[in-house]
Amino acid sequence: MISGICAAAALLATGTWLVRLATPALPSGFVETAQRLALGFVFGVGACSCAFAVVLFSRGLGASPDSGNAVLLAVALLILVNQKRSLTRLCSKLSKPADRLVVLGFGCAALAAVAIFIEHVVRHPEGGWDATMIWILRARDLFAGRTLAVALPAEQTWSHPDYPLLLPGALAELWTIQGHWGQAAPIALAAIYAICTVVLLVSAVGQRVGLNVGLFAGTLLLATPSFAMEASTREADVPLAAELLVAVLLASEALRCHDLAQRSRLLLGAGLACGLAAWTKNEGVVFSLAMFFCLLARRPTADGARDAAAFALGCAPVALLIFFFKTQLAPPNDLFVGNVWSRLWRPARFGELVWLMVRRLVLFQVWGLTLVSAIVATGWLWWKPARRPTTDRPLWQTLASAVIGVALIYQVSPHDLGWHVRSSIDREFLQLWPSLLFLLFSSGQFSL
Amino acid sequence: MVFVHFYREPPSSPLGDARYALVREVLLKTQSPQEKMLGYLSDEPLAPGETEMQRMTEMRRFLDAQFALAPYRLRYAESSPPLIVSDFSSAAALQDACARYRLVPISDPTLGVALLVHASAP
Repeated sequence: MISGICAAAALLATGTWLVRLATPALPSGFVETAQRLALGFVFGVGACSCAFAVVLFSRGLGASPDSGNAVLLAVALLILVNQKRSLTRLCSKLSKPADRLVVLGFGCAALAAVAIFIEHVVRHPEGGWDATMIWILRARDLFAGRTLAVALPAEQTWSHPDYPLLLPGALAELWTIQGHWGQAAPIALAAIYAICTVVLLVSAVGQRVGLNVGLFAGTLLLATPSFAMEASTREADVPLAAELLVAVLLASEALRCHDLAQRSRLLLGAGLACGLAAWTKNEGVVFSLAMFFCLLARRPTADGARDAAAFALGCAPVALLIFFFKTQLAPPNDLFVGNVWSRLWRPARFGELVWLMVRRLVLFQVWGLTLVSAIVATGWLWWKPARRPTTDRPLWQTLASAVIGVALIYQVSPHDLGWHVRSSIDREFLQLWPSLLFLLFSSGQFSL
Repeated sequence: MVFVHFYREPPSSPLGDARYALVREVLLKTQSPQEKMLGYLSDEPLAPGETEMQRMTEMRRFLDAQFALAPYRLRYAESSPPLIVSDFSSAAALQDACARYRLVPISDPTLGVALLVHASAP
């Protein structure tokens, strides 16, 4: 009971503190409150899981998440009490309510997504393939084994013992509160991350260009068959998508902000979100590096360097945790065994990879027509110089670099390409999907 | 699209938590999670694939067992550890394996799933 209260309070206080740190003083209103809650959840769960990992790494045997939560709670409360409310705003308040037809479309898509989620949870009560093989298995190890050695079985390469521990850590904490492992915690966590992703997308696009467009972007996300299905599998891809979306929308706001202090705070938040993404899945590392270099490459050079430094500073605490985990505890990643450089130059494999990726984009049961439509819209946006987004250019570059990074990983992978692409590419695209929708619809070129 | 999706989905086969409940119960009484390595024997055919990753991800029953028995670690097709988890499709197949490897069940073997020890063990 006490550990439950402690963990809940730590999550709440840390989430609130981090949201206030990164995005001070949102205007009040239903959408803004929902946005703040969603941001708080993503930051709060991430921070609590990181605290759990720090305790685990430092104490090893018999580590309990309680001490991590207690420290986190104390720090967050201390800062909350002493922090003055900033005067700046993340975004302007919503100008007008949405049209009924748009709300109806969004409602229908939401109902369908909820139905798909429930149906899949009933059919797969333990979770999807990767959830049982990696994420929930690792959480069970952490919870029942109570030692890191048990949780990192180097001999079981198929369960990816080198994968980061944000999700397993969060689940182990929830089960510690509950007193036993079960299906409710992973299902609840998956559902809340999915809801947060939709809320963040709708509210952020809505604040930038109007609630009609925001709801339309949300409808597209909800109507993507793989979104609800992947959320229901309880794998790490939807939480990762939520964290990447947080990073992109905070960075996008920072790039529009002329107040230097506020800009740096937003970039700190973006960096922290990227750090949490990297602690969720290895793809988060690729994305974080891409965003860092794309911010650094901005002109004028001094601005780029300052922005990249603020971003790196936000990323640093979690990056340190990841560095320690990867270098001291985790076995090597299966994709990088042997001579990686010799595997990079395989033109035939690369041609096959491009073909497989393109074929996957039109897989109707995964994407419907949403991804192809978004790619066509992106092409239309970038075709004419007058339409091209200027402020968000580094973020578009980040998405493109992340896709190239993922393609390079497939290229150097020692596994059969067909098998590897088939088993993972949809999830790779899904991780970037909400961020792509945000950049596309917040460009101001699409109105409703 | 949603209805087509619902219509086409085949029913899911239940995973291993219930199937391994008895084995887990005996394990928790006899073995600390720190002594984590257990053997694993089964009549599930080895999946094809170029790498261990490809092969193991197709071994559904083995993965179910590993998931249900966490944090204990199972060593696939290994009968040398002091405790061995068996998952055979029938009690008769389990009996054959026990005779071949000189093993004795210490949990109810009726479903082909049991915890085994070496017959020579004290």
